[in-house]
Formats: sequence, C-alpha cells, structure tokens
Amino acid sequence: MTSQLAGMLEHFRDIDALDLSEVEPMTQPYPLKNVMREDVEAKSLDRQEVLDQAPAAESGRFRVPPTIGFDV
Amino acid sequence: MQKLVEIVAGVTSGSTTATAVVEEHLARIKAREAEIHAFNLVTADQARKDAAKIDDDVKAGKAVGALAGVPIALKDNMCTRGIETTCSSKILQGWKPPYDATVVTKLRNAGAVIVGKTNLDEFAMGSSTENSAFGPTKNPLDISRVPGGSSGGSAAAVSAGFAAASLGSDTGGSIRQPAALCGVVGVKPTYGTVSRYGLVAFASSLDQIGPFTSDVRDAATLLEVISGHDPMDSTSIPQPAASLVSVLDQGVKGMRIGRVTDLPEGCEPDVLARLEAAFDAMRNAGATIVDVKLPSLQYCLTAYYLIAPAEASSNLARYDGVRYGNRVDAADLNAMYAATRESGFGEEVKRRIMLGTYALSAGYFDAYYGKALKVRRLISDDFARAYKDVDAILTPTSPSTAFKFGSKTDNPLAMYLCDVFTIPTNLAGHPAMSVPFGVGSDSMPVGIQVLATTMGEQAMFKVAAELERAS
Repeated sequence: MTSQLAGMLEHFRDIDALDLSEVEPMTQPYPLKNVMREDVEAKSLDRQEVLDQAPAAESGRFRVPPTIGFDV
Repeated sequence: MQKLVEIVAGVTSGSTTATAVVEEHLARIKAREAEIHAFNLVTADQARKDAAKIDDDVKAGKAVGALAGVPIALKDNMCTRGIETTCSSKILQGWKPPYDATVVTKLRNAGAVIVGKTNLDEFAMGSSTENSAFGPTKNPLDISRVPGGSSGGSAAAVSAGFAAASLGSDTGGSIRQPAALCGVVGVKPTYGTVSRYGLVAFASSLDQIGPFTSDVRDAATLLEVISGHDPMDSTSIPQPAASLVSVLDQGVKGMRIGRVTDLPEGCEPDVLARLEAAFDAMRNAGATIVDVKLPSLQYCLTAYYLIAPAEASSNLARYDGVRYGNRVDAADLNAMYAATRESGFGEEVKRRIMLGTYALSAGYFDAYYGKALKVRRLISDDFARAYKDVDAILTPTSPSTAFKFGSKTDNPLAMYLCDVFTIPTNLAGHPAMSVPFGVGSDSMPVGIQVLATTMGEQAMFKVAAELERAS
C-alpha cells in the first residue's frame, strides 16, 4: 500500500504546474451561511434504541475501556 | 422492466394491486439474486405488509401517494429505522439505525414499497462494488463484468427487474457510472436538492442522493418526490422541488448543447462514437451544438482524490467502536480504536483515510488539500464560463463499457480514472445524469452524460428525454 500511496501522491503533483496564487479556495458548492433553526423543543432519538446499538452500554451510558491511568 | 409510472397508474386505478407487483419483483429476486448479489438484505416480509396496506387504502378509497405500490431498493448507506444498514462494511455489520433518512420517510409517505438494501463499494468508495466487504455485485447483462460503483447494487437491482427503481448516492460518479454500465438511467441532482439527512457521510461537500430507473420519465417522477428543502440537512437548498415531468415533452429545439473540445484522454473509441451519435441526434431535433473549453478538467481527478479522502478521513473518524457498529476489545481506549478500525475497515477505505489524513496534515495541507480547493474553484469557474454559451453539455458517462472483474483491482489509479467524466460535476455541485444510448463494440450499454448548471435540472431532463427518444 505504501508504494501505491507514493504513486498517487506523485500523480497528484500535476497541479503544481498551476499558478493558484490569486485563486480563492472553494470549500462547498452552494454558499449557504449560518443555517439556524428556531429554538423550540423537538423530539430527539430514543435513548434506549440508540444504546441498544452500541457495542457496550451500562446504566444509560456508552461503556468504553479505561481511558486514563492504565499504566499507573 | 416494469415502468414506475405504469405501476402507479395500475395500482391507483385498481387494474393491478401493490401485492401483485411486489410479488412479481420478489419472484425475480428469488430467481436471480443468488447469481447477481444486488442486495445486502431483502426485506420481503415488510414489503408484503406495506403492499397489503396500500391495497387496503385503495380499496377503502383513501388517497395513496405518487409512488403507490412501487417496489424500490435503497443503497445500503441510507438509514432505515430498525433495519440493518451496513455500508457494505464489517465495521457497521448488524447496525440497526434508530431513525429513517429523510428520503426513506419521503418514499414511505408516497406509498413506495422498500424491497431491500443494495450492495455498494465499502462506504461508497469504489467504481465496481469489488470493495464491498460482502462480495461484489455482478452486472445482470453479463455476470463476468462489474456493474460499476459505488452504487452497483442499486443499478443492478433496476437492470435485473428486482425493483422498479432504486436510490443511490453519488460523490464522484457513483450513481451515473453504474447506471451507464448496467444500461439504466441514473441522476445526480444539484448538490442540496435532495436531503442528505440519514445518508451515511463519505465526502460531505460532494455527496448527493439520486434515483436509478429504467427510463427518463420514471427518473423525473421519483426525483420530484425525494427533492425539496429539509431543515434536518443544513446544506439543503431552501427552495421547493422543481417540476421535471412537465418538461419532458418540450424537445430541445433552439437549445444550445455544449461539446467539450478538451475532453480528458483515455476514452474508448466505441464510446466516443456513441457521443458523436448523441450530438447528431440533438442536431436533428433542432438543437445547436456549441464548442466549449474546460481547461481545468484535466486536474479534476487530482482535486477530487485529495478533497474526497480528506473529507472522508474526518467523517469516518466516528467509527471508533463506541457508539455504534462493531468493536474489537482491547486493554485501553486507544488500543480498542486501533483494533476496531484495523479489523473493521477494508483496504480501499484505509487507503483513502491515510491519503486524506496525509493531505490534511501540518506541512502538507497547503501543498495538497489547500491547492485542491483552489483547483476546485478553477473547475467551477470553467463551467460558469461554459454555461454562458450553452444550456447543457454532453460527455460520455464512463470512458468504457462495463469491464471484467479483477481488471482494475491491482491499480487504484486505473480504477479512479473510471470517474474522470463524472467527478467535475460533483466538484462544481451541478446536476448530471446518465442516459443509455446504444451499445459499444462488446454489445454492452454505453451511457451518455447530460450536464447542466446549478438548478439546471429542467434543461438536463429535456435533453435526456430527447436522447432517449433518439436511442
């Protein structure tokens, strides 16, 4: 995979030939800004239905392996 | 293949029943699905229940929707509440979403009957379905060939008559290329036309949902139903859905159709011959062919294969074995993340995550991702200049007809080149669609791509309908 990635990055150097100094970057196709909704209560996902799909859950929360202090 | 509009007419008038229509499609699935593998999941029991409900409503004289009784297949990257949604990835195998995608809600409200979830390249990354963790889909027209991808299962499902229509998602050609290779119609609408709420994200600034159907009228009908503003998707265009069926019979007289004079090289001669035939057909129907130049097109592959992996590397960070999907247990959190991703993601997904992470990393951001965003602007500007002179542009959808399994799997760049004609519209956010237009030297279908500017769906559908009449 390393050599494939190197080959791709080599191919991608084709854009080095372009003078892009005056070009504005384009991050999205449709210039929408600050899309907000009314601050009203709305229905959210069912907590139990969400937790039922987690690899591990306990007492209404996602359960994960130790995050800090494992080596202590 | 049974037309969507005929099914709706039959079911609503009572000349047939939704149950009969669904049973016909399920029988075709039973007969050929083992060979084709279009589906990750066939939801036969639920489809029968949904069809019976529509038949009850028709009998009771209740209003039924614009897609009453139409069997529809969904690409398996669209969330269906309580129904497994895998993205053809081991990391999501078994996951049942707690909500429906907006398109699923719209389909159900319109009376469509969902018959199953279709196979794709893992997380929609690929052009042949060979990257599916659950095995490839075969092209129903020749099972030694790929159906295209990433929405190969959705294209094959329509081509094989397993569903009257299907939905796919298109990030760099994933609807149009498989549509071309399987001989069906496939549409990528303007970015923001169809809600992405509940579509599992690949590259958020490029992804767009669209229909596969057996003809242009069905595509227009289905697209009208799934389009429209959705407050749940912050990139959804705040405008009502355009009327498309109404323009199909208007013809192309007086329209200006663009021919790209600096089209990227590498297209097969039999495909180019069909493109010339398409221009002839447009000319015969009263359109004017106008030469246009898109000089930045040659850089689109580089821009796309930096931008899409960059966005994917961020989007796919959510698969960490914590909230959904599968986990490989390990002693601490970081080891669990690593083990989960190592085991859960396939080779192409890992390749793109690494490529995207690299393109975004400090020291390389300006050289790769930053430059790619500027090239994206150049491509968009090229199109803007071209659309001052033309109403639509025709190109091939794919450089070749459906290729044989394994012929491009060793060389990711060769696979990426399949998307050279479809990628530019995703970068610009424009609509484009593939219409079957004859066959190549191998008797496999050739798709002609109709491109138009932002919100130019009406012009695009006029041209597509004319192409279909001439084919």
